[in-house]
Amino acid sequence: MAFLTLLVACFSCVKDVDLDQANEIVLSPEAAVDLIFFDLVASEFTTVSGSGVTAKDETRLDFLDDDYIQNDLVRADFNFRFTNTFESPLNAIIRFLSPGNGVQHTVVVPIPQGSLEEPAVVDYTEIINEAQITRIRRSIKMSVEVTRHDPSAVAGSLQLASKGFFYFEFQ
Amino acid sequence: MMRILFVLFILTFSSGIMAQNKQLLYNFDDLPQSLLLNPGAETNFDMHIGLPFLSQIHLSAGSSGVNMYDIFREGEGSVNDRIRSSLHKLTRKDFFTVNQQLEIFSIGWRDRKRRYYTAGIYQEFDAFVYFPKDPAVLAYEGNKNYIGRNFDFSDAAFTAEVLNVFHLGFTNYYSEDFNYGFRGKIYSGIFNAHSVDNTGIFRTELSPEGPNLYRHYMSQVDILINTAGWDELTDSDATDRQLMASFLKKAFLGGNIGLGLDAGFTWYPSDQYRVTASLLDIGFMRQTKNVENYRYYGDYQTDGIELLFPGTREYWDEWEDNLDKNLKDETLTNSYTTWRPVKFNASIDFGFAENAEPCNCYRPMGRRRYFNHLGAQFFAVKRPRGLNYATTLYFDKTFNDNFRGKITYTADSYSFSNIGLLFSARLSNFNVYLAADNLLDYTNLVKAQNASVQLGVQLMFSRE
Repeated sequence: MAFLTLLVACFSCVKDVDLDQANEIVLSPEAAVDLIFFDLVASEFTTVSGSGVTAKDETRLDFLDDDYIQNDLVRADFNFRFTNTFESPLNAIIRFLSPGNGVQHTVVVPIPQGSLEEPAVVDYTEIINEAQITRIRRSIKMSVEVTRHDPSAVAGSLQLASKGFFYFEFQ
Repeated sequence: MMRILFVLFILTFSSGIMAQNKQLLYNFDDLPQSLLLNPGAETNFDMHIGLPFLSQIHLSAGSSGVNMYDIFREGEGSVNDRIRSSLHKLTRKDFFTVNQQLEIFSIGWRDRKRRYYTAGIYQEFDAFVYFPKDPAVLAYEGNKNYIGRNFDFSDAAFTAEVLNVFHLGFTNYYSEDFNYGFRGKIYSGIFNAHSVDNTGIFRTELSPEGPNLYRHYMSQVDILINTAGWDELTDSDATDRQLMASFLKKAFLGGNIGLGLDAGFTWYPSDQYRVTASLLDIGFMRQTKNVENYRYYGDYQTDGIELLFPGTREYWDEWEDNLDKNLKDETLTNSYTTWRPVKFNASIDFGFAENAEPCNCYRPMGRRRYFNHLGAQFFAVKRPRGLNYATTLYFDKTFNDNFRGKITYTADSYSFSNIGLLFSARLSNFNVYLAADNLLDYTNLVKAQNASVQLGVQLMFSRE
């Protein structure tokens, strides 16, 4: 019986499996994260130009430099929701900037005139696909520039809410 | 690398078996190892000396939830689909466990009053990991499709330890029908990792009333991983020689120390019926040396980064400072106490086919003896979230003075097809035994949820 047991133990086998499939395993989590938000009023438009008055700001997004972004991010969707109660059309330019302030990617969103009673809502999604993803990997900052075309329309505000969907493939 | 880690994670951190259940050795009175499972067991020899490092080699491992075949089978679907499917099939109650024991030294002898004394040293590795369901889903799929759902960090719980056990025991024959025994143990800790009772949730929810589209929560987070001996293992400056010296020092009472007790009895309501029970490893270890505790705790919620036009432009630093202020990461050196996994065995069996050979008067066997025993055994082990159980039916047959075998059928929460075999041979004073369970799965190990094996050689002596 011991011999049989030993025989079973020695000749026990591994079959009907293909361990080479380990090379095909891909972890593909999809992260949904908040990004920037603001509530921009007329007094914050401080730069005057030919096309109106402009407000600018920027923030670092240090996580863009992390390994999981640099090595494993394959797609990013950026969703921006603008709510405009200014009685003036606006133009929003969102830029992804490198550490040296080089522009890597630009998103331009025209925003129609709204009012306090009837806000204009623009829901815009920018999809950065695999072919473009290095633009995000090279970026570390996001800047926002908003131009209000009618400087005299001071009542109201422009609100932005935003989120990102980040698609990873860990191999 | 990441995917290999994840597969290991799925395969190993996924669930378990009754890895410390030695149903084949329990009640097998021809082997001294049965005394390690019940210090009140009756034994059928008068002295034993284990061959150093060879008298018991025990290995067991398994997974209750998935096996290799579930992930890597040929045909139908992709491996990634099967991982995803397994991930959702597993629950936080699934667990993985590995147990290994190696008898370094073992000796026993019977005195003139029929009491049997034992002494020895064995090394043990024991690891038990619950499947961290929510953290695993978060890592594999992310939060995008789980808006509004809590990811619960309390799913993560594990224990792992390597230790040497120094033990001294005796079995006292109180009467012809009743034996009891105790074993004192000193645990000499080599390595310990312990993380149970973690709390906290991560949640992302839509925020229609808030300033941004989502709000992320980390609530009541308190994750604590206690380790003893880990810092030395990860010390890149230590040479192999230094590591080995440290290992040996800790193995032989120079590290963290604990105390434990085994107790058990055997009762014969009649010649043919035998009732036994034992409690093993009622003990603790005090982890005071080479201790590191890693703790992550706090509460935090965020809506993202608010731009103030113009602001400080240090938004990210402010956001990160706020995060670090509310979710703290600490490495401490606080001593802690761990409890050993207490094991409980109980059995009843019926003897038949009487052995009419003259009895050995030095032993407490003044009753009829039988070649065959048919019995049932119950086993339980205490784990961080409660008891795990197994029930065994067995048939134990003595073929002659030299050969004896045992066959078991074991059922637990995860498997109803566990057949085991033990065979013990004695040639003069030399004994060899081999035991293995889950034999049905040996034809294709990748389908096995679990497997274990015990084997050993020793010298055994009987007074005539």
